[in-house]
Amino acid sequence: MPKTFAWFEGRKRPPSEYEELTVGLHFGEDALVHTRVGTWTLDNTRLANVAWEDFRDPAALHYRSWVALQAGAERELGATLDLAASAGFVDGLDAGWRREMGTLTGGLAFAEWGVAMALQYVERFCLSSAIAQSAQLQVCDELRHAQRALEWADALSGGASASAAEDPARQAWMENPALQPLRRAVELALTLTDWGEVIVAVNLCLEGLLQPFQRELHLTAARRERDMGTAMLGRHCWIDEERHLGWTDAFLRLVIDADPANRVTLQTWYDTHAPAAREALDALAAGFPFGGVAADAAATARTELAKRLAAAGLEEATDR
Amino acid sequence: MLIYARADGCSTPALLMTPEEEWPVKMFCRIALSTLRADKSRERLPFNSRTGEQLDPATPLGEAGFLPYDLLELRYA
Amino acid sequence: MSNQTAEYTRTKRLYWEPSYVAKEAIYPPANYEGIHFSDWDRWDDPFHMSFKQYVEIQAKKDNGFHPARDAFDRYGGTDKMDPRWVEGMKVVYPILFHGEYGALRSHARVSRYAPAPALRAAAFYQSIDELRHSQNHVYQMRMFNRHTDGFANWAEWKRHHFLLQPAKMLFEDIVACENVFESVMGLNILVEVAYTNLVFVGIPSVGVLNGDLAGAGEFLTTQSDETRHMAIGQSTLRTLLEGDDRNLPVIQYWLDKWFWLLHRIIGCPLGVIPDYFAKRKALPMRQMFQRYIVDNYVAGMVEDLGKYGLQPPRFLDDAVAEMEDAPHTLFRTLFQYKHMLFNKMFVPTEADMEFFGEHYPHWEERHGAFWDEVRAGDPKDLPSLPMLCQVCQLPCVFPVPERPTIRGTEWGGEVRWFCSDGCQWIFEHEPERYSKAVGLDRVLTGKDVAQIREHMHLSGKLGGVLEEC
Repeated sequence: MPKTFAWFEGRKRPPSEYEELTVGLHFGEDALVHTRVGTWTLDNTRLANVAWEDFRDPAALHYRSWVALQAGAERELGATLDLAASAGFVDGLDAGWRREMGTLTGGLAFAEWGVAMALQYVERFCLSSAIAQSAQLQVCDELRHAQRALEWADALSGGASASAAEDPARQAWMENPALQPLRRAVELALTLTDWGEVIVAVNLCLEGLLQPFQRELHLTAARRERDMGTAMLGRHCWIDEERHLGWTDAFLRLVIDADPANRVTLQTWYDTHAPAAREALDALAAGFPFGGVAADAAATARTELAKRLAAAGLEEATDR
Repeated sequence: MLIYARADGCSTPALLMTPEEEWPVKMFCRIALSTLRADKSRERLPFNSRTGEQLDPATPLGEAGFLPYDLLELRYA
Repeated sequence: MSNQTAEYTRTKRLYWEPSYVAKEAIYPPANYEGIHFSDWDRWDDPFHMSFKQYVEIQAKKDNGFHPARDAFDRYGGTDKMDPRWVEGMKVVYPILFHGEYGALRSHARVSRYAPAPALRAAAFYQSIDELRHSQNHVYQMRMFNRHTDGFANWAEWKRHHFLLQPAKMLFEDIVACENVFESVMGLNILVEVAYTNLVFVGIPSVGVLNGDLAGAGEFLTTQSDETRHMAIGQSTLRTLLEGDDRNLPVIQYWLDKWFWLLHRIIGCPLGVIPDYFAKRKALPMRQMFQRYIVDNYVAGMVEDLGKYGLQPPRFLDDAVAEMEDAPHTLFRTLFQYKHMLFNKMFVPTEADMEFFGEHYPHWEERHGAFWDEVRAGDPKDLPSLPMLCQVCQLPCVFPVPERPTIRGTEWGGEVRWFCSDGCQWIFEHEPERYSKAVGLDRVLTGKDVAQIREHMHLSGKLGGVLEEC
């Protein structure tokens, strides 16, 4: 076995490049300074007795591999969206479709960024270098989605306006009734101060429903409307979001395996935040029906989340 | 007790020592000079660095007015 | 509107005023306490970076750097490095990692809570850059580890070894800043504007002379990202000073504090690299300090921002005076602890002393006798850790151990010691913040050398003297 760092010695298999670059590098819980904010303390989450450096992201990306992946992905997505916008494809789409999907896509851009902001809190306060990296790469992916969503929403609706007051994407986010439960759920998540709770509220409850919903909506409805731009955007976002859901599932397994009491904590958090997430999903599906595709997409999303909950040993929340 | 000691002209940094309270200052100075590996050819006098007070060699350390982690300096006479 | 500007503008569009929760719950005012500014939207990020642009540029950089690094490793580059330089890198890389990891974590918070869209965006990209830098340093350490001892347990040493406590303290302090603008001041202005040119441009130029081509490549690709970080720091500072007179006192305090901390914890220790661990030398540290810190950074800052009332750093004269001795004082202090290190030390050669004589006129008078005694057979090994400064965690040995500047303050029923007026001044301004640390010399009171080595996770043959130098 090639010589590696001391904290990997004694293992049967050599560490991967991901592990060598990511795992075992955290410091600062016994900080040499004291402020109100502090550095990191074991009690900054209710989750307890976890060997945080045992976390492994199934995607196993690190900076170099992630940036290479996303540079290639951006070239592909950018070429498609540029072609769709410039070669008259958008003009040829149904006007009603353009209006509805443009409004939804523009509004959801803000949700993506809100998720990113919430994950920045995790990136700052979590207790391992590996979790911090997974959160950080997700933050970057969410910015990617937010920027592309705005770009595509502008293309569908005919261009961004000069002022914030007239920005249709912002108007949708702030005023469209179908998006208000989602905005409320995002704003509530941004007030949380337990980084473990943020992962449950955002990645399990909210993204666990929204991302399969968007995947189904983008791919099914967009194919029906022959909107290659929306379909490609949906596909690219889903590839990234699958990684985010994957590391979330790994996180849940880690904390539950470490201490059964953590399952109780996770369940409590899930029960607290799931109703708002379900309400957000239901409002989106009702407000943007797309001829019944949204209802089917929402049903698929609920089924997929239920499977993930079962795999984690958590129960679906009954309405309380 | 916990007291640092250093000596003028000595390349050893101040070191933390654990003398007994009943040791006279003079005895502690002798031990400190050895621990610090200081050149003993020049006379040095003991001072409480914090107060600036020169110490009576006969006084027991416990009665010499030291706070925890005080510094006893052996300054050139 | 250009494509790049359009994409940047999209990022600025993404913020909204919350209405389902109080704004203060999402943006707590305590995170900006003491800073006054009203028109945050007016302040622009000079780089207008978008995600697409970011990954494209960075992927190209990585495609240039990593193959060269792999080739250097594969074809025996480390064998051709001077052994003294390798010993120096054992100390440098863990310290750099402290910085990059602290920075990526710190600036996640800066981005999350910054009131200005420009700062949010720039701190966002900075945070991901710092992940790149931290992992590039790990790539280097992984390479070195395959060829030499003294890198294997670097992550543990950066937590527990006395040599690395100062850097641990510095970057924990940046992470722990309550005010996001203080994080920007400490990191973007003092670490990056003031010191990264010295670290990532000055030092690799010496490294190349000593066979470290991979390190030079790594440092230079790191510095290419630092340009953006410096720009946001300078833009932040100017905007705050221009925007409201009331910001001046707090900005001045932060400048004075962080300048001294960076000088003490990065500048002073760094000097041992070009002056000692570099067998083939270029500029002495005191000239590098003069060029990069005094002439470039301080003079530039005064020219640019003096009109708003910003003064040069309070302890600048002390810092300049110290650079006459700091590298020499620290190197010989480390020599006295060579039995407690993870790297090896060595006795300066005739060539080294000739260099010192040329560039440090007082070297013989202040430091020569120590090495004469070593050559006469005195190993100089010490039985316990030195008095460590309460603030910076460095030994209280400056300017020279024979006549150190030691300052004391009574706090909490015991005495806290400081290596300098600067560290004492910082403590007395923020005692709650800086009284928490218990120096390793106090933690390990009464322990013998074997026990001290065990505490610091030093196994077997680590430390000692490098025979071929």
